[in-house]
Amino acid sequence: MAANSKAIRFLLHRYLISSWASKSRRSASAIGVLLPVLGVSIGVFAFTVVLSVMGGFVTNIKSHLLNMQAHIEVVAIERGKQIPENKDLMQQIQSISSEILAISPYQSGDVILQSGSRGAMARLEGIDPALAEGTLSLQKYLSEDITLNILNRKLPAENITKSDLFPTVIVTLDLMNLLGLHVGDSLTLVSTIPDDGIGGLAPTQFPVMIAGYISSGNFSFNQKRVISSLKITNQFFQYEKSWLGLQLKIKSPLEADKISQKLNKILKPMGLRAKPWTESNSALLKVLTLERFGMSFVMLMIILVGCFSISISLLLTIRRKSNEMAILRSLGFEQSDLSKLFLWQGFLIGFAGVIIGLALGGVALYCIHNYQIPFITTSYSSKPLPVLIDIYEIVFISFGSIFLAMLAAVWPAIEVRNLDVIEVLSVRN
Amino acid sequence: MIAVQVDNLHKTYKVGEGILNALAGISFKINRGEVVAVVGESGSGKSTLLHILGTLDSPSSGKILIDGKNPFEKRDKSVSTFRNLHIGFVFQHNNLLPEFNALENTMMPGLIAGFPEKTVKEKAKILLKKVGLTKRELHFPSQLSGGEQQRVAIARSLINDPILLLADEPSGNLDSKNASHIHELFQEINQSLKSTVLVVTHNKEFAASLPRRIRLRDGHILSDEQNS
Repeated sequence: MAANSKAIRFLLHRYLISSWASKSRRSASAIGVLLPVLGVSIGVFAFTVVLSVMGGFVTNIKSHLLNMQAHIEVVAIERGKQIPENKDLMQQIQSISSEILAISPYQSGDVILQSGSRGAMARLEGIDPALAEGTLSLQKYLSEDITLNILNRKLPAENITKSDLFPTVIVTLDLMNLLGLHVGDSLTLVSTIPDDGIGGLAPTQFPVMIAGYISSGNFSFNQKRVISSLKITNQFFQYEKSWLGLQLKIKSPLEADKISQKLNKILKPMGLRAKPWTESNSALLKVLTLERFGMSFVMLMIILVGCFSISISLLLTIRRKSNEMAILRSLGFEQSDLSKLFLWQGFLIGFAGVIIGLALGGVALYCIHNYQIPFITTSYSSKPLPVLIDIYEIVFISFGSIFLAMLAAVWPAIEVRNLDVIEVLSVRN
Repeated sequence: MIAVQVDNLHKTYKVGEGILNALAGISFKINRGEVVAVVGESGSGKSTLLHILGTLDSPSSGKILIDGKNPFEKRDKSVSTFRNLHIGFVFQHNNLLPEFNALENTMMPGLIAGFPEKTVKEKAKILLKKVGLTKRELHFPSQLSGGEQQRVAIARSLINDPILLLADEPSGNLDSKNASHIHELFQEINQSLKSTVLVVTHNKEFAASLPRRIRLRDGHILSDEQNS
């Protein structure tokens, strides 16, 4: 007969909970329970908060990436090779998968920007103003009162007295500030490859007018980028009706790899290939994954320290309560019952630690997400931090912590089996 | 009817290079309802005998039958069950679980046996009344005197109606007044419950007051006297 579970429950209740009722017993038993519970709580709290805030950051970054960037790009297999303009190709690609929501052509290349005595290197992106909003969702990042359609227009520049009309461009806010320009000012695009003109080799110079600016919140995008119409970009780079590639927007961006594989089966014979956003941003995604893994490892260490404190606390309990353990054996407790008693203590300490840790973590995440906490928000941005609570992660952390807490109780559970009842009773008696 | 039968019981311990014979082939029988004092000097084997009879330790050789059953033929699990149901213990001191009150301490063997909590509680109250502690049943060991703690331990040892009640110096830690109360209590219990009691004691007066005394020396029975 194993000791009735009632007896074990009775003992557990007293050792873990009721011992708080009396001040005289509190210092001995309750503190021995409180410390490991706090250890696990702190670990679970830190794990939950850090992973959720990191999850929020990663989602934020991905959301920026996926808003500003095509989910899939179709480019020539030969790097940098132009694709002749072909509307049928667009239709053909769109018909391959119902997942594809929108498709638009683009052109891209390096350019030198010149404004008076100031200059800067930038990336010139040529888009189809009518189609690009469907694939890139740039509108919400554009300065007020403009749409991408402004790129189809020619406008006079405010800082030039000549009343010529210039092709329009949209530049990133950071770049505009760098060059000391404003909306309405003119700007000269200078090619990086010299053109063989009348006077010999000379770079192409192309005046444009800044019709508006774009500010995305994405550092790499914001830095140096000029958006123009596909037609103007082709004119500048002296391409004849061609594209560098096609940009695709799909229903589920996380399925980009799978859809790209499907597209490649058809595109490869045509000398084209589909490049998912995960490939374009593989370095960033690897860094984010590595950072998440690193942080998880550090947090796991905190939980392990908490669990180690369970082992130490329970081992000390065996030393402190050896006489009680011996009495229980004399009353009919089996060795395995004593082991069970300690395994249950490990489980309950872990469980309590997880509940407290999750509750504290929940409160902390609520505050972080909804209120501006001065020392955190000033170092990040003026907004509260982004938070993403992944329920699977929380379940994994919770069960993992309880499992580790029970594992921490195995050593004391083995140790208590080896208790020499006769020796303990002989010493005491 | 025989409650305890001990035949040629040996217990040896390895001490360094040598062997210590704690019990060197002792034999005796105790009838049901009998109260026996085991006396002897320190190191005579009294406590070893008590631990073996209580199934806390196992014999090196020899046979023990308690109520006709050999507990050592069983595995640890069954030995623990046997101890829980058939043997009651009272030690010299620190007998009680400090985090449980007198009533809960008394109930513990019944709960371990898996008896219904309500039944065990009722019985524990009756036993505490028998030992005169009705008003102290919700007191914790730290709130009880040494004599009261021993009375709780006696009540606890009786909760499962054991065949054999073993007491190791039950009054050894008490003043003479409390010791005498405990001695009287053992005799009352023996008379009212017809329990079989084996008491290890140094107290000559107490031993003399009991109907039978087994005197041990160096692991042998020196004498086995009965009051006429």
